[in-house]
Amino acid sequence: MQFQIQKDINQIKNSALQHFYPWTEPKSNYHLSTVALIDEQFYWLENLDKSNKSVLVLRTSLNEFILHTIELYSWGERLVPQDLFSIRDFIMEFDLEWDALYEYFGESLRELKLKWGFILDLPLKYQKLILNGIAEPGLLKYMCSNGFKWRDCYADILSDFQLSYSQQRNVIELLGRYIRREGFDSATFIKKYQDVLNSFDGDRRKLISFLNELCSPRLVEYRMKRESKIKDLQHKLNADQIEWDRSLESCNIRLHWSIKTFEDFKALKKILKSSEIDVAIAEILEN
Amino acid sequence: MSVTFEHIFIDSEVSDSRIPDHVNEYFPNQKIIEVRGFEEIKKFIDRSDSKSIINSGKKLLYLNNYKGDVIKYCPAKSPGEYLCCDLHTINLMSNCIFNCAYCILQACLTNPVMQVHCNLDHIFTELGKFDKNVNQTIRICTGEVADSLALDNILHQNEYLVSYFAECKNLYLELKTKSSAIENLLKIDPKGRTVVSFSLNPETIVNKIELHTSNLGERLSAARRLISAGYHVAFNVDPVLYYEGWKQDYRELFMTLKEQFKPGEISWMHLGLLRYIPGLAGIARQRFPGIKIFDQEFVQGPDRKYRYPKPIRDEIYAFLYENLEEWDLTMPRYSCVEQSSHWRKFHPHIPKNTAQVNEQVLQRIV
Repeated sequence: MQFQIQKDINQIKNSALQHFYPWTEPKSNYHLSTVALIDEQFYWLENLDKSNKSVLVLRTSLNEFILHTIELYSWGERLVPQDLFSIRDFIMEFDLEWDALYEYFGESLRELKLKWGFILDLPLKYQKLILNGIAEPGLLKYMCSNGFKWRDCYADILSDFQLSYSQQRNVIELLGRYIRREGFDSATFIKKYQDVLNSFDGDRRKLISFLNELCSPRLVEYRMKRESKIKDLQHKLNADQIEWDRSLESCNIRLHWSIKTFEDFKALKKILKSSEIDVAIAEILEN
Repeated sequence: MSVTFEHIFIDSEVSDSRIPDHVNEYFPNQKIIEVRGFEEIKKFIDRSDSKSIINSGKKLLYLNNYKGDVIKYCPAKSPGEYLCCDLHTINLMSNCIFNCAYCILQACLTNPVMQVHCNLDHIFTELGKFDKNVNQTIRICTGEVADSLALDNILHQNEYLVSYFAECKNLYLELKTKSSAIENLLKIDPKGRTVVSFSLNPETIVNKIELHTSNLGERLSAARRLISAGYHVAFNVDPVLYYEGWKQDYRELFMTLKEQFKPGEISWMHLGLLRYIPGLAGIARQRFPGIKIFDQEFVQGPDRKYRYPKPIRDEIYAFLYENLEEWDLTMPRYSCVEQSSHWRKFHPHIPKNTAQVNEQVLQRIV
């Protein structure tokens, strides 16, 4: 049996079984980390990488396997649209029907598929956006139901501009709120902005700057003013136009600090947090 | 609002019969099902989708004992530079029958049932130890994961609580509510130890997105009656929302307050702007189709909560404080989880720590 497991290790690793657990559950919580199908029987294995120490902890049929998994993770209680992907892959690998899975999961799976099944028909790269938690199915549904061809102006932005995960999440939040606020449909958005987006030619900084100005103008205006104040402060510091000595003497310290960015300023604030100098600097900035 | 439950459960571990007796009295014809733990209730929960789960939780009443630490620090506290109001909490209930579109409970309550904890003696014993050991005045609130008064006509919990706190040395009880169910409170003399803090918003907000709560007029009328009965009353204008026409609506709210309450009558004013954790907006959009409050500009803070950008926050706070000062110049006030720069800008006295915030909040009472 050990030999069989080692022989089929790649097949096991690539099986849909490895992802057949609730999407909301972090992989690290999935304490039975590996499931293997051997001679039409299912086995939970502990720690596949250390194959010599592999332990077979459960042997079961397909029916029992599904039931046990659902019960083990209370999966029925925490079904979310993203679970449709792992369930779909499982169905395909073992040549099952959705109806069979409805029986195991109960009606909630049928309703989930009815409502969110559209995500299974999306092009693969967009499915991955949802599966990786980058795009919310609800947002895509909203965009679709508003006649918004999201893949023309939304998911393409995410994939074509090669943004980091955190940038992608920010873009989704920003753009999602904006289109809801404005009540755009696809034609309006594309007509207005497709040329602009194309003109960025994949430049992430231009894209993010554009979206920030478009979707969050008050914040951008505030940040520009803040930057200007910081530059002014820096200029005054360089020109010795600020009487630092008075406040510094009272705290009995000397200040050697180069403030070029707001991050520098925040770091300085942190260091001086407990002293009155913090207040003095903040006042200079705010006035 | 008439309250009904599809099922009422009592855990077999409950031995203190005071609250179960009140429930029995209120629902004389409804069977109370005895269960051994939450597991037995699960099958009654409609789990079709997240919307059903939340709604289902409001229809199942589960009487049990509270386990774990009785006194906790307010969960709204954020790490880092945010200064909070030093509130402590006890959870006598978990979940709420009201339906406020912005409510954080939608995103964070894991057990979708209305849990009511009946082991009052244990809770009072722990409070007694705490009262003896602290050397400062502490506000203890019951309304962080429930509304303090929403079910009081049924449960009568607050009669016991108010009487208990009336004899405390260092502790003050704060009941946070959007309800006007105060009849039971009026039977008890709080001896100056209970503050009922009403959450307020303009009438249009209350009607549209604070569903099933008492309307603004009912809350203010309840506040007036409580003052007459010897209770302290405070107001929480939280969450303040930013939308087209917000200024006029909040102006009207403050005008109403000014007309009905003289300077000095209200113990404190708490202002808080809409802030929310990631995930809440999606759930709220599902439960309240067409809701717009999460579509404004927001920025994510170091505590991961979304807030209006600073210039919008400053604009709102400046407007609200101006209105507050027109009404009652010296009213103690605080803002929930704002950074020190906010305090410098909008508060006459800058507290150095959360304990000082608490002292300022309580200055009209202690």
